[in-house]
Amino acid sequence: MAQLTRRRFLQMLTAAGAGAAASGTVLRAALPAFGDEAGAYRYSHCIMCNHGPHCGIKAWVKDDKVYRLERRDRYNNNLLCAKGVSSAQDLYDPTRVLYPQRRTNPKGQRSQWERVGWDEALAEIAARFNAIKDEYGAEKVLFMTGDPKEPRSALQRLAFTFGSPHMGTESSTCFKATELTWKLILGPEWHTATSLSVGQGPHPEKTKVCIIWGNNPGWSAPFSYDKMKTTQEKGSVRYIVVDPRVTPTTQNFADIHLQIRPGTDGALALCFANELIANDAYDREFIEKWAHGFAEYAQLCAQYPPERTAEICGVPVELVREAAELLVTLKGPITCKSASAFPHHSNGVNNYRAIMLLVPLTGSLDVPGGHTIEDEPLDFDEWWGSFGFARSRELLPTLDHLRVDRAYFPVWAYTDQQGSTQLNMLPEYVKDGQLRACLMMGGNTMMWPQSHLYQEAFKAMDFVVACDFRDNPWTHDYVDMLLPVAMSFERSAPLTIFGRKLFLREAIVPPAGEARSDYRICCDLGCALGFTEEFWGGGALADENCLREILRTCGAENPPTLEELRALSPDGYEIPLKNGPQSKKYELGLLRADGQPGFSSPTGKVEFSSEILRSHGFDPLPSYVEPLQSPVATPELATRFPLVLNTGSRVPFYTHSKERDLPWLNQFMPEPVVRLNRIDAQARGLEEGQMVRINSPVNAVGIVAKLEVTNIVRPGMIDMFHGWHQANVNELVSRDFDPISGFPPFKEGLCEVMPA
Amino acid sequence: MPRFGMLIDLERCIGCYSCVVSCKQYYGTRPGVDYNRLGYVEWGEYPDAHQRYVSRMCNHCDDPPCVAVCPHDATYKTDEGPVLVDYEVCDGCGACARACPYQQRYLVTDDVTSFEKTVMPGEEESSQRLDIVEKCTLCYGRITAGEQPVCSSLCPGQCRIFGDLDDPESTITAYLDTHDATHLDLTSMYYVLPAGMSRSLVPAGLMDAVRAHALGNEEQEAHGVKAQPGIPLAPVAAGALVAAAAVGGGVWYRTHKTKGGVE
Repeated sequence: MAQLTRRRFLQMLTAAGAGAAASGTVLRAALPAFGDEAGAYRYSHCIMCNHGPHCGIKAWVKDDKVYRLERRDRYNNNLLCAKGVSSAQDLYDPTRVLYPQRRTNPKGQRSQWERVGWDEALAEIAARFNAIKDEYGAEKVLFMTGDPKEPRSALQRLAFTFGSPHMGTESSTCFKATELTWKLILGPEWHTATSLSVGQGPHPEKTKVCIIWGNNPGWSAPFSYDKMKTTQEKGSVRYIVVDPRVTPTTQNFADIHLQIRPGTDGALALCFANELIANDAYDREFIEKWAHGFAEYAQLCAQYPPERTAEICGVPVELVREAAELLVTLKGPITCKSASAFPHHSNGVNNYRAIMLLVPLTGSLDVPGGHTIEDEPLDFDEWWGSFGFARSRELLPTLDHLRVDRAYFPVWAYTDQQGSTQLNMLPEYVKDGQLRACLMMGGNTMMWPQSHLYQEAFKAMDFVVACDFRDNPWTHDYVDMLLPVAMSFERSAPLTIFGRKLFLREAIVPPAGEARSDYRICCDLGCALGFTEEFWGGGALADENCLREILRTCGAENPPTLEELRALSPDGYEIPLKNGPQSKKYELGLLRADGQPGFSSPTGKVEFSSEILRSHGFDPLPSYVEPLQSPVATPELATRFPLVLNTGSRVPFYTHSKERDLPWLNQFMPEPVVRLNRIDAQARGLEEGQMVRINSPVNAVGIVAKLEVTNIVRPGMIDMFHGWHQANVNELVSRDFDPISGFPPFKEGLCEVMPA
Repeated sequence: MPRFGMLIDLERCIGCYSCVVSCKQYYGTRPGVDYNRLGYVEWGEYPDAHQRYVSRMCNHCDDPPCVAVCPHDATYKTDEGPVLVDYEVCDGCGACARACPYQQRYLVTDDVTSFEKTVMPGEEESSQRLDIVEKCTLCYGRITAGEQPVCSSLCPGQCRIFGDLDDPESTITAYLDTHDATHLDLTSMYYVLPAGMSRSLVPAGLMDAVRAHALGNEEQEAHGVKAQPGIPLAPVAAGALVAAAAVGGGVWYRTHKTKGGVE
């Protein structure tokens, strides 16, 4: 031993298991020193980006404290982005709400709270909700979730059991318009629409062309990136990326990058379609058998030759031709990888419809390498519960006629099967006395354009309860009560679900303070409202009881029990397919309730001309319409507001307004930033780092942010991240909702930037 | 005896900052102490505009200038490659931080934690350390136990290829065989640069870095120029097309402090 140097000793030590007992000084430089003696790894999932499926968490836990996170192998998504690893910090934010609180001053002022017990809080909420139910009807109470999405299924169960159809979510401005679009193409059947709108990404050998359309998964869905990149490296897929911005995706993938003017995507998609049709490069056999309204559609497409399209989109005609030629030469199958960006236009659904119709046009529907539809879908709903647990199929038909959104957005209401109220007319609903009270979980007034109108709406309601991790003034100054919610690592519901693969996620540390899981809050409140049986008596076992009901009703022949999942944990359980994967399920009669071949659309076919839209008085074709406000549509307005306003996209270190309080992430963008191209900055005499004011036709005063001069944006537009309460860019956005989806135009409209 | 190295493939980097934060959470580093740093670089103009993210860290030099200047042998190069600091010997003189041409050493002089007056579990150990120098260890404890550095392990882009440069079977050796990588001369680091990206936008090799650092230091002292959080330090190499990392994009923290609080 005398010859054993310190370094050699260290090597032996680490090789023998990372230094159990010793605390060599060098070792401390390389390893956290809390050691392994009393800690253990525990397993959970991350909810920081509010996507599903969730990325895996392997946490080193000691004395019920999370010390560090590591890679969770033998799990579907085992990598973690900056937000994911910061969940360890989120847990210990000293500003977390830890106790139920009741307002003691008028709404609209900075909140003053008094602490109340859970029993008292629940009794008061139940009394207020039941009083409104007795006097005005249960439908006057709104139940809503924002971020995270996890409580949705449980809150649905609560809303429908209480007797209100009014369960709404932040998908009133996010994912659901993409799903709605697929319902207009193929019919309202939910599993078909949702699997197509989520999309699987390209297959390395079978996909010919992948069009990544306004999507930067490196920032919005980092968990999907490694697989996408490996597909590109190992396969023969060609990539067309359409994006007004320069992003890691345009840089790392694009064979051709079309940096178009925001809002003109529909024209480009129709142009691609026209080139495919004119050159006889589409799937003629599929179209003849399965297309409805194709002749009308082809006529529409013919109006968009490359020259005109290039002019509309503001890109060189050679690039448009090059991209079209790639499609014409390689044909299908193609994949269109897109996301929630497109519905954020006044013509959003139709632009998105024009894009997605390229999928059936090229024969890429439910074939390997194209867009596949889920095999033998289970009854899990999109929110990780089940239709049975949420009671949507059981109770919604009797409540649906009461919903308030149909008068404004009839197509949304008609195609919705889950009781997802379109919330964007909330100020009108409240003004008209149609909604009088609200229970929100993770709600946020900043998600809406003209956010102050929504603050006023909550203020005007009789009674509003918020459940949240933090006290956010921009929302909670307008509520009557604030309840503390357990964070992801502190709760056990819902399950982690990857299609047919299930993982049990159990609390790995106890809830801080008096925080309760949102599933438990729904159950406890359900009991207080008088539905003890439906909510299994609430209490500490609420999460488990909900999971048992979800598993029981998931639609599998022999669903696993909670105990079986627990025995397997941290590994998961895969519910086997009966028949294995099947292609072209529309030919096999697997997509319609009556078992006949075809689709659930009114004509049973792929509707290039939508009969649902026609019956509601809309243009049935996916027509391109210039943004309501744009340099082209409103040139006079554009002399005063020459820049296109683009917001609502992601940055890598925040999810919407979340995570701003976390020092690990806040260091990267500590204050509101607006991005401008060098050409536009120079034209205004503006410099990098300068404070600037941004205003718009609907907001003359505007907001102030720090200027970043960057290649990210093309000339003629700004790009600003949302969710800054001190500079809320959504206050610059008009309430010109897409009449089909009700979505706000976050990615069009005009603005100007000037020194602050 | 392995000889560990790392390769960062910028074609795979998505600028997600996981490397910065996975390291912070694993070691509980104090605010402003980021063993991994990330920022973007740009070149070209619309319609041929480019932007790429570049991650920087200690390059674990073959013959590290920081080791040479340490008066107490507190910092040293291991046989496997990583350059480490013995916290019990380091007296925080800061000589190594000033000598590092890559500005990858942090003299910890402020007793601060992420949340004011709150020590998170992951900070219990690191918050005990004051007036010492910290830096990337290449996760020495993990790699000598057969694991990857935590940044490589969790990276969503899987752009940080780690392994034994002397092992013909290792992942990094295979990657070097199949990719045109740029070696930072006399260090353990490699980058794969996308087509069209200038060599000057990633850190220079050791000799060039030392030369540039000497000039940069003089200038800094003469004019008192300091990089503030959120504003880029001048790139190490001369001739960068567009110096980057910006208001919203990245953070290059100051890495130089002398004891006694004078920056």
